[in-house]
Amino acid sequence: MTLPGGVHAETYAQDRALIRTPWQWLWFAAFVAVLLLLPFLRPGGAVGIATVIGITLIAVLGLQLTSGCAGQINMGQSAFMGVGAYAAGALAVHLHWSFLMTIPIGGISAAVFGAVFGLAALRIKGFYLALTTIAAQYIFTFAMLKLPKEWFGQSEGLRMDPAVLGSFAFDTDNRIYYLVLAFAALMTYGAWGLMRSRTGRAFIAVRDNDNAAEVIGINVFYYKTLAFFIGAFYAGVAGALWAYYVRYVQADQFTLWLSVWYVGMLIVGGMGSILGAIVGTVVIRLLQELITVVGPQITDLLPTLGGQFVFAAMNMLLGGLIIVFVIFEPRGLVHRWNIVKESYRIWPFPH
Amino acid sequence: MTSLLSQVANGALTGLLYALVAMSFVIIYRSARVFNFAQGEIVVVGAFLVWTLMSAFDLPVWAAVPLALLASVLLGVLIERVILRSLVGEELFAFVMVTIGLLIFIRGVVLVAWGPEVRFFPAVLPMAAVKVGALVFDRAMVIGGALTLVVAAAMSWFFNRTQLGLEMTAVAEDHQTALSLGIPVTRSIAVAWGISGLLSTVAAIIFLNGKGMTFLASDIGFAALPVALLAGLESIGGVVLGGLIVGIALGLASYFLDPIFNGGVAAVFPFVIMVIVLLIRPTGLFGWKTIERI
Amino acid sequence: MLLELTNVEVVYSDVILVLKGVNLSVAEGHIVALLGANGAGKTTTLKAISGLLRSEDGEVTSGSIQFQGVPIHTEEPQNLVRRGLVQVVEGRRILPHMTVEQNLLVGSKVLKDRAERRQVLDKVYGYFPKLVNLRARVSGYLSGGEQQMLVIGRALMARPRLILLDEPSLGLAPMIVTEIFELVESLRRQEGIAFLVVEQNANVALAVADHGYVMENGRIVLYGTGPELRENEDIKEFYLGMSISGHGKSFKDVKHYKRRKRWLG
Ligand SMILES: Nc1ncnc2c1ncn2[C@@H]1O[C@H](COP(=O)(O)OP(=O)(O)OP(=O)(O)O)[C@@H](O)[C@H]1O
Ligand SMILES: [Mg+2]
Repeated sequence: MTLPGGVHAETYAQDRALIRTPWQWLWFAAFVAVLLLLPFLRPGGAVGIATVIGITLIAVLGLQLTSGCAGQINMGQSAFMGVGAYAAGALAVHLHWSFLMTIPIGGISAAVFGAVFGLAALRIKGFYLALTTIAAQYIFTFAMLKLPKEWFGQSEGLRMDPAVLGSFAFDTDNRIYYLVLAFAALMTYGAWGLMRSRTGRAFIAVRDNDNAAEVIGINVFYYKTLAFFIGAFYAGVAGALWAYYVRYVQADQFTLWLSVWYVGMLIVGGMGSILGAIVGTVVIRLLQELITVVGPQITDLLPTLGGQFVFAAMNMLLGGLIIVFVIFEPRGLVHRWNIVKESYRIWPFPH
Repeated sequence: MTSLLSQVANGALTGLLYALVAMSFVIIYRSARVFNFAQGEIVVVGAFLVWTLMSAFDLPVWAAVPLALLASVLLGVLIERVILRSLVGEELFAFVMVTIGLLIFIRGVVLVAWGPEVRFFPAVLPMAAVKVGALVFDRAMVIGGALTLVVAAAMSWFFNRTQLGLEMTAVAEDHQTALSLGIPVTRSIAVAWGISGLLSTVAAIIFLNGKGMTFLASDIGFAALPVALLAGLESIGGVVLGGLIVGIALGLASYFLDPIFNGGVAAVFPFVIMVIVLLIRPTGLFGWKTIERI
Repeated sequence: MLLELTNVEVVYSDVILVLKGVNLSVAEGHIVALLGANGAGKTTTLKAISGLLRSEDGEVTSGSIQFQGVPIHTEEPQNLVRRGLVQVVEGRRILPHMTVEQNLLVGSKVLKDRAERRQVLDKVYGYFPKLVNLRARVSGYLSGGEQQMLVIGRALMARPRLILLDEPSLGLAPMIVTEIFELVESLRRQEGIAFLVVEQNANVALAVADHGYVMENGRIVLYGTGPELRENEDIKEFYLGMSISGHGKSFKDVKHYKRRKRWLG
């Protein structure tokens, strides 16, 4: 880690702190303020986008833990999210449980489903594992569409009432935004703490070399399963929040394609750090939004391109972005930013 | 009874088609140690190439198909040269990522170039059904099944008997050693991508012959995935057997389980078999096991 | 000279300087031993010559490497093999899932046609009669000695003028090691092939070598003919001493340490 000039840690606690300088505190406070005041600053569309970003972020954070930290490639994150959404949805619809119960249970259901693949990771490695997690997608879709209609509604899905707390219903965009914001903050903090704990270090040992990790006494089996468990838990929570946001759960919302995107967000942001997950999610989601805004205008100007052009252009742009990142900046945007910042700080004396 | 037989026989043919697509994965994996997630998209590009040449340019079959095959070889080589080449020596993760990026990118290109509409894929192969006793088969699938067997035999021969093929197998084993023996590793890998592109387009023709298609035909890439994994990512002959196993199991599953689940078993069943097989043999039925003594 | 290195420097990953000016030469049809402690840079020297360095992010940053009078330090390995320079890499890297014969054939990339391949193959089987019966075996299951024979045989398939042999004795029984060096000697005698052999077992290597070099820390610190080096006190202590007495000498011996310093300086 690089430190700003003149900052020295005098205690261990200081050394581990996330935020080190007064300026950083100021930026952080401003950022929090903007998040809290967003519905007043920019009501309407922005709030919806921010809500989706928040939900996506939770899923991508989970993927960061499984893939970025513990090195287990996971292409089933969207299916895990779906499990969480369905579990929370079914409990809310059939048993009328509070979201305070259904969201954690959604997370745990997904975690259990995900842990099954963690068990597989003990034997199956590399590409074989990545491809095995794709099976999660197919099994999930099949199960949700085929299990008894009274449970998950089959192809009709589940329609949900808004989340309520006492007599307060999260039934407007702004209200659900705050709910998601609270969860996103909590889960980010959780991931941050996890990465700095014993568990986080064990994850990294397993990622870097699982044979060596085994030799120094790390229970690789346990940590691989745990990595999938926790990663899928995040996905499950994100899915449950999604269910309360759109108030409708259906298997088609959770596609393999979405999992592919989550992986893409990680690559662009940077593997292995919380900030990477945040940056990747925000940048790609905003780009997607930008294209949906700009796209129709381009289509208006050049009608021959057709309406689908937007979607297509988005894929080209973002697919190209991922390729470029893997080739030129495999450590992601956050890394690039650090380099830029570093050279700025020591300018004009680079050596 | 006939219907069970027919399900199983048609399942086997489907399995062989999957095997053909799976072979295009395996050939790349064998030489480059890269699993190409974008393979399904390459199948779609091949399909659209054939469609464009025949329906839009009105070329006759005998001109259009070879041209499309040539173009798909070039596409494979191009991908290797431009993208994969610069990643030599990188970690596994980088390859997963870059082919995922490629998957997204090619889908974008396909949509820009050909749009999302349903197109009618020309009947390159004869359409009349084949009847054997009471069983009825799609003629393209029968031809495709036979073709898969021929291609597999040819590939097996190529990789085990010819000098170029042996060199490519050596590349599959160990890049550094191959290099030390004077084998141009990157060229071998480019050849593999070319062959793989060719097989993808062949598969597209068999799969889509005379049917409607959209960019979503790329799903066949993922459908063929269990076949490649179940067989093990190194074995050409194994892929054919894997295809037959999956196909026949699929036929049986559709016959016995579809009435219970109201259809749809075919999509998930191969994945279930795959996970079970991999848990027992993590490198597939016929894949290379790590030989421990060294 | 068949091979000549002058002041070769090698850097890994743009920063790690491993060879610090190596001078070394191999005459046509000679066997030259390259000795040195672990990490001295012996393997790096061989890779610099064979062109394998670049695949490991290593680079020859200065000096020259000439093979048959032509500079080769930017040449691709495949062209060097074609010109008759093959490296047998460390650790018996057979192609484990291929058969013995397939392994051998892979080495014959540079030969023209089938007939020529057959002919060279028969010759190789002549030198390694043990491999004939094993030809259809999957090579991953061969014994260590058989695998070492196989990799040398595979290098011969390219009809080389010079073979770079990296630690052929690694983990093999003394009997087999002797057998391998006898083979090296007879290949030199009958085929006129030159060898540059990296070896920890100095005793065996110097018994057949015309010349030897000792490397320390990326530099050549000692040079001499085979017999000269065998008589050299330092070599006796550091290399022969170890292999004879069976366990390493302690660094507590001050004299020993001083002499070592002299080498380094
Ligand atoms: N690819 C590489 N990148 C960075 N450093 C390297 C690389 N390969 C070797 N080195 C370093 O170069 C030095 C010399 O290594 P080399 O393999 O040439 O030694 P050696 O003399 O062959 O040793 P040994 O007898 O153990 O085989 C070592 O310190 C090693 O760590
Ligand atoms: Mg060495």
